[in-house]
Amino acid sequence: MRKILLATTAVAAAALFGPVEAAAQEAPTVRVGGYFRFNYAFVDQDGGNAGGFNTGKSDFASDMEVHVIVTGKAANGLTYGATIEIQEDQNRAATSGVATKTSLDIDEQYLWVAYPTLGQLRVGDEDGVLLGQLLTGFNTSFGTGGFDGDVYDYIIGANQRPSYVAGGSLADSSKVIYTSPQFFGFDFGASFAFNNGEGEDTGCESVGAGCDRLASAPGGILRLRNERQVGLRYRGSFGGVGLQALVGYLGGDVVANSTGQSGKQVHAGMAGLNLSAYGFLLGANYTFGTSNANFTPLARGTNDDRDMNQYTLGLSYTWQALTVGANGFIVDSAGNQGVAGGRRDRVWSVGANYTLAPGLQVIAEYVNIERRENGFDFISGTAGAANNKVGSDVFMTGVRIAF
Amino acid sequence: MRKIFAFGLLLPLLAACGQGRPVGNDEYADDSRRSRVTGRLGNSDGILIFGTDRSSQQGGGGASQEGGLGVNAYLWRATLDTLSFLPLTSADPFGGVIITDWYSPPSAPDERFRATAYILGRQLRSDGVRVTVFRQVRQGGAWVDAAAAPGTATELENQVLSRARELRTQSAGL
Repeated sequence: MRKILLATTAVAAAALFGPVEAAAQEAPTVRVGGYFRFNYAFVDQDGGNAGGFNTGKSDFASDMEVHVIVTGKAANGLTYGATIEIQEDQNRAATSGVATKTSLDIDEQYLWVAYPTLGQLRVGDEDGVLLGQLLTGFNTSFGTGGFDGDVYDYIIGANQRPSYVAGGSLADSSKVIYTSPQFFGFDFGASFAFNNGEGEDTGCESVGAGCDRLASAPGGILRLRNERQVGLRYRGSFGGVGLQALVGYLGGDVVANSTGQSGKQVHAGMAGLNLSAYGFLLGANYTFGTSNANFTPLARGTNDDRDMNQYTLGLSYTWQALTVGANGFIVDSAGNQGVAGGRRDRVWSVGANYTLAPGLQVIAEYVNIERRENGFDFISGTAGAANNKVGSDVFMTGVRIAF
Repeated sequence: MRKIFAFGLLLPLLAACGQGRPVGNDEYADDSRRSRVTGRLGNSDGILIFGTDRSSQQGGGGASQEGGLGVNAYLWRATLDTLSFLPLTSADPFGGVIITDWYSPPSAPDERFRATAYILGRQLRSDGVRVTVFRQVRQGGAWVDAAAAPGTATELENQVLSRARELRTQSAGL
């Protein structure tokens, strides 16, 4: 065993420090990219009127992103860079004056170094390999993205918005990510985050539920710790049909209960497939495992601790500047664990976008949302016989620009 | 644990074999809203604040399809992919010319082929690529020019166009 280890180390050292391919050094560049969109939305949702307050059906809404992108290349072939993505995401300020709808925050921020024969190491606030770099099977190429598009910006109430897995659906917990070079069409990666917090600092001034490093708490908290993701991706082309496939695993511990039974560890698998040919793009993904929807840990000793299953499908067609498509998902999960009914979230959408000029597109999209769980009142957010099924219909049209 | 350790050893071994191909940042998924917009205003991935524009060589943003090339990037990449089974002699991305060396298929060692491809402009058009195929056969120990099958060049052009369309779809949707 020792000999194997020594030999392997020598090979790795040879690869790292041995003769390197000739590479021209490139001075770092700093770029600023941006995105802006403006949508009109017609919204017909359950729960839009409550307590004597009634909401209208039409809305205009805008959004933006600013990305700072740094890249460089050393003479030995090492490439490096950093990305900082600034966005408007404080769009549901619970209290007027605490945060405005135009407050800026950071989406992702990371640094990366890559070497041609060794792969890339990325550190920072990012999605991880499974929900980020190697993500496969989520076709969001039409409209604003269909089930994973802008639609939730127009739905009032957390209980009216489904919980689901998609690219970036977990918090960008500060983590370390490794992705390999591509070997015979395959590349793989792994990522790890100690805690569920992003950004600088500890998340708390005194020890309490907000602390990033929280390991246990009275009553426990259904929050991931030690989040690990691994994924293996294949890309190839067969007779003009492009294929991308992914299998992966996401696991995590939970903030333990110091006074009783702790929640369950998350163990989830994912398989994704993209097929592209003749302008068509098909994406399919199956995600399953021991967790509630979107990898939320399950509590023990409840009325319902069933596993989560999510089925995602999308098909689009691109012809010159026009892309049309449809996508949707079904998520079966425990939902509210206080009731035994089990939850089903179902979303489907159709949409299109048209490229007026590179970086300038108009979009149109319809999205239908349905949530159901026997014994759970989605309007009040408590157990109850009423409002066990709610839904929303949203039509959007707008324009977006990227530079 | 031993299996994980063995899997970890695989990487340096494969790397040492030189089989790996670096994966650019534009080959990874990006969940930002910006990444969902096809193309970039000015055909440049962001506004250059500092440094020299080498966007076509960085692979960092994935959106600049023309930067640094004199011809259509999809056709250029598709032509390189399609002709990758032939040894390459020269490739000029500014003039849009790809010239391969002679290649003998293992199944027919007495004949050999080479190809020349011209990308004719910056537009992704069906008449944007021209491929010429040359064929020689061995007669008495010497290579002699011979006619290539008339449909060979057209088939290669069709392959290039299919691959270009596929690349464009991938960059738009993934």
